[in-house]
Amino acid sequence: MNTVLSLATSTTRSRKIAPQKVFATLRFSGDRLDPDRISDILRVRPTKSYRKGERYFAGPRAGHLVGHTGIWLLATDDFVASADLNRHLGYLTSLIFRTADHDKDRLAGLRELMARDGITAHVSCFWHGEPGEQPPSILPEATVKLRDLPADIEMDFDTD
Amino acid sequence: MTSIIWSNPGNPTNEVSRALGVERWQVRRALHRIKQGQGLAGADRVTIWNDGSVTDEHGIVLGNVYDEIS
Repeated sequence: MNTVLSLATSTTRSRKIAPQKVFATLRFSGDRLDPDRISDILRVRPTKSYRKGERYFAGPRAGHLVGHTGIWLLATDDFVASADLNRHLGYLTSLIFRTADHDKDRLAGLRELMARDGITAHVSCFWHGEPGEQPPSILPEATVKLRDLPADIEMDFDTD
Repeated sequence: MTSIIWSNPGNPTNEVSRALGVERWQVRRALHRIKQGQGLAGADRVTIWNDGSVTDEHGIVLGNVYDEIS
């Protein structure tokens, strides 16, 4: 059995990489969302996931919370150690648009699931710079691909 | 006793990070992850308490800043 798929719900990943000032997130949400199905298509364990109404562990201080809608969230700083936001977005696009011989079309699978279960996709980009530092430029190929999922894209850029 | 240290729109200020004893980028990063994990957008208004708790406009706990830093 694939261990990635068996650990799909109610998880908060233990960190392998030190917290970074640059990362992106890919989120699927919806009241009928089943996190296992997203994990099954993308073949990766999410950073956090839960079903609507599910009680999940949000951390030692927050304790257990109840999901008001279904969430499947992956944060790239769990996987990508880079200060280049485009590398983080590249990780997400490769995850979604990868097509290998042994893999069915992930994009088609996601679109089918999103349409059937009323799931929406959202990508966020986080960057924190030094005073006066210019925000990163994002390569259009990444945003074009992600919007084609379709996913809406949000930027959260700021400096000290 | 807990008290509110931030309930404005936009990114938390240096005063918030000082009150929590962490760096500002850590507060921003934690808040970003909490909002994303709750299906919220960056523009959605939340309240930060001096124990690190983050709640929505109805007082429902969304997460804790310290959980996202450690």
